[in-house]
Amino acid sequence: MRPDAVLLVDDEIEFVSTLAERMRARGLDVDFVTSGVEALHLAKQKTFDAVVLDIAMPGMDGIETLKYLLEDQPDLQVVLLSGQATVKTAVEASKLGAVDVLEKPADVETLVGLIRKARAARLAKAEERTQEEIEDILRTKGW
Amino acid sequence: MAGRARDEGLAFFGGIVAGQSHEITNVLNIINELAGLERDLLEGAAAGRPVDIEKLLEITDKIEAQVRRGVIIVSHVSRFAHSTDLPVAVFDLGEVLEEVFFLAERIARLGRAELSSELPAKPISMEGSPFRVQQVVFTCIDLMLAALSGERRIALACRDDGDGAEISISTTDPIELTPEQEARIIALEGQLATSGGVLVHSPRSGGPARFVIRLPLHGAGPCDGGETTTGGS
Repeated sequence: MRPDAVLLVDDEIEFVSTLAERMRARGLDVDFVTSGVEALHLAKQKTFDAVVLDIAMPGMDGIETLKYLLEDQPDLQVVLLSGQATVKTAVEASKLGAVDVLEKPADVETLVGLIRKARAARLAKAEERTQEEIEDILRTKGW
Repeated sequence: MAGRARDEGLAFFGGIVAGQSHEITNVLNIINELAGLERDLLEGAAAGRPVDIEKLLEITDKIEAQVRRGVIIVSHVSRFAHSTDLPVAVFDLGEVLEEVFFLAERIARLGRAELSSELPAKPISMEGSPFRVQQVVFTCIDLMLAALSGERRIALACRDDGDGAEISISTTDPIELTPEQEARIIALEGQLATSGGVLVHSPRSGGPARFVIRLPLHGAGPCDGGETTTGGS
């Protein structure tokens, strides 16, 4: 079985590269980028079980990146990380489909635990969606 | 007018402190991850894996670099906070603009813009409120950033023209201000007028945009109509 794949997105290179190193040491397949735009490009090229997104980033911020990611891959499990998470941001992220909003510094074991659950959740969501599509086809085609 | 100026000053102060707190949090988060990595390696060594001394030294170097970065941010925030100590003080305009440049670099970076400065090598002694000068210059940079469309470059410059100081904030493209942004400019013009200063936005349409702030070097009171500004500690 392949390791759980995660994409880390944070404009602080020292932060994101160190977190990636720690997650790799825990057996995860980790890629990291430093902008929302790069995240969107990479997410099109590779299948990730989870994306961990910083909220405050130059240019496209975490919330905007979250919207685009989920538009393209509705089953993707996205966790947002914030330096100063407000209730408003957490509610907005949750409404948009983020699985969790964690305040920095997030405990690496908590983060890894969330990512390990993410693959199962992503597959379950995809299965559910496929089932709905099949039921819809059966209903509308009237077979 | 004085009440509004005070509210805007407080909002500016709060915005700067909140933004710089975020920068300090970033530094602490990096140190936290580096310390975590160090712990991972040391726990590995305790479990019998070989100790990678080079790696540990590299992590220590990175932690020290982040501490230096944090100290720089804190010292800028402290200087900024102390700029409210006296409603009127004698200060070096060049130093105050360097401070604004540091504080504005964060919003420029978040707005994916490049900020450059051409500040005088010689001190420009000025009497007035350093806090209000920072507020006006920062607000102009902020407004320009929000209105930029093409080349995202802003230049901050200053010169002493004998009668006073001229501070310019310019970009290579025209900008279009929203009615709300225009209202902020008008409010700034009003604040500056009370201290004998002038703000000119030119050209209003077409051509590279430029804000020019002219300030008298001496005898200028606080820009909020003469009320006392409470000092920090």
